[in-house]
Amino acid sequence: MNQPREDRIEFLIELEPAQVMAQYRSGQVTRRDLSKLFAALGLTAALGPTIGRSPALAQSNELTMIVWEGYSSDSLRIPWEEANDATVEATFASTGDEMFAAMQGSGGTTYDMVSASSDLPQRLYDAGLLMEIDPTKLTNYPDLYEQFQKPPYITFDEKLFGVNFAWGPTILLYNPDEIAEAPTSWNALLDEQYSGRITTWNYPLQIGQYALLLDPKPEDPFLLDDEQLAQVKDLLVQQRPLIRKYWDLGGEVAELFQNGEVVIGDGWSWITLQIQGSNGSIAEASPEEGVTGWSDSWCISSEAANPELALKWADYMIGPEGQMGVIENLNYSITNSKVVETLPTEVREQLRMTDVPAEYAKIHMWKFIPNYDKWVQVWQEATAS
Amino acid sequence: MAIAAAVQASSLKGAGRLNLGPLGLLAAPMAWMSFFYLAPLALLLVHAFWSVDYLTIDRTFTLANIQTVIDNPLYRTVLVRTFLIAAAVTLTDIVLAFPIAFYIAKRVTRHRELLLMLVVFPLWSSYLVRAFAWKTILGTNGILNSFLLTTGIVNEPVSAFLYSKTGMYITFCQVWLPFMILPLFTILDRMPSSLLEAASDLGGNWWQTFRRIILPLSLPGLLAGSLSVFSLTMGDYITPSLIGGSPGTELIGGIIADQFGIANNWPLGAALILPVLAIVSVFLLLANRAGALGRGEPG
Repeated sequence: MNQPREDRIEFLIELEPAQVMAQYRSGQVTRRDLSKLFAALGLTAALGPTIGRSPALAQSNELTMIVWEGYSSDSLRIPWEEANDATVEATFASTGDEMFAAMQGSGGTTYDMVSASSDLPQRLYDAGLLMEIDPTKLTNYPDLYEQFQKPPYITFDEKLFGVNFAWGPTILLYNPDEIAEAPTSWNALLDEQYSGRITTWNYPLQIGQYALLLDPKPEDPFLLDDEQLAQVKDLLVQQRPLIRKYWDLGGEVAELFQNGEVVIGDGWSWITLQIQGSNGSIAEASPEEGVTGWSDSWCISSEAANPELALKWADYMIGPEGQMGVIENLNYSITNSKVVETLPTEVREQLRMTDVPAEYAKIHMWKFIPNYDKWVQVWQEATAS
Repeated sequence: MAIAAAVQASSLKGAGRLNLGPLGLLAAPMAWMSFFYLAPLALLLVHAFWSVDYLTIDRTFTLANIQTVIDNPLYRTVLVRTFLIAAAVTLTDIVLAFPIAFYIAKRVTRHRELLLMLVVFPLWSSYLVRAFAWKTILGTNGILNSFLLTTGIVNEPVSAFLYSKTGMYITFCQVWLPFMILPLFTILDRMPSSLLEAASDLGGNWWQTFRRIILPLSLPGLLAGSLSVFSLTMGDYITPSLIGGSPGTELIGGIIADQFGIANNWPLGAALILPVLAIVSVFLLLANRAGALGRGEPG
């Protein structure tokens, strides 16, 4: 590092930005050098993160993603960032529809990756927003249970468009201090004794969950005809006056329980963990009518600035570290058979993983809904008017 | 808009000294507005006459969306609700802002800047932060309920403050208040105090003075402020999601946002914008006639 100043800047320009940042962190490059470098690269590079993505910086070390809450938590993200000298810029979405809108709105350029649940990839694929994934580039891919290697919701034209890494059910959450006996039915969310203390997810897809209460029960709660939709709408209208708040983000559910606003609602296991983490009272129940659930995959945008880095992230998330992180941070079930085998029996029992294929099949997984516009209409009319 | 009106009003005196023609002055902002605001807006509104077929937009002319907006009772209910809340918030802000603006403009001689700064101060924080702050105040175990419980005014916490129209109304009134105070202050500040003295000398009581002098003269500021508060409330969808979110609290902004963000139905979303735009435009025209935008006879 004895080169004259001007040469050094030229030398730095030749380097990968990640290397420059590494040198900066280790003190070999001063802040002054850095600002000179930025000046040399042009103002846009310096302002890259604020005014848009600058190819120079984004290309090699920044991964942007739109995800469900929790998938970019520090303990998952930071080890990977350090190992790959990269940064993850994650945006939370509260629904798959929001992810779709965000992806489509920018033609796929804003986000490199999306944590798509089983209902979403079909739409993304149809809109030409997904990049094909070559599984041979994923070292952990062979360890996935067979059913997660080429599941129908991420396989189109026999090609793979996602890396399936987590799954789980939407369950009943309740406050055991207020409700002594565990509820056994989704009817608890329509029970007048909890009037004004109920919350439910504000999402048309939830119609599937309430369809489980119909008699006769539809074979597939995500394939409903107009009559069945009308029946679910009646249930939702009946539920309306009892609702304290239709929740949007998962963090909100935790807040609603902890502030004593609600005593029962629907949600996911990571919400349970979050409430327990701050010493709140919360319990889970799995209703006898069955549960709906989701199977999440990392999909890569067809316009991703750095697909190689995206693949690395996906590979990490189905590897031992990522999979354990999913369990520890979110209490979700995982897809890597090797990792499942290392888990203690009680964890396997709790997360429905003693016999993964059988237990997975019991959950009505979210799926692409052909008459989705009708679902949206029903949901809005039932909840918003 | 209110700020623009205020700035326009306060810069009237100096405008004559510049020698640039009106066209020369306006060219840049007009170009900016046309390109970055009017053109996208027009493009968006054209969607109202198109339709969506799964993922693609069918550009054949259709009135189906307009028909849906008119026929579906959901949209009517929500539109009326939004209008009523916006009207209530506007009226409340007028009542709240008038004494404050009058006090700062006419009664305070020292530290006026400080007081004005305090009025503007909340605008320095994100609107989202202010809405969240209201959650902690209005919640079942929030500050307001704790106060009411300890003072014995109520025996049980009132749940109707949060996740309700009441909560939304309170939040809106607070977050938009500066937009009412500022134009009112500007106009009251310019009102000659001699008029008030004359009224008093001629034996007018405070009510007569207010009704026949202060109110007519401050009408442009009042309308400018009302316009801002009203249209900000008409279009908002953040407060309904944070402070509302219970049945019967959805506003039209949320319904429109859902058409774009959830349903992926831009045409219907665009069609839903039309009635909102119509209501605000009518208000704008009325306000313009009454001189709120600087063309009338302000004092």
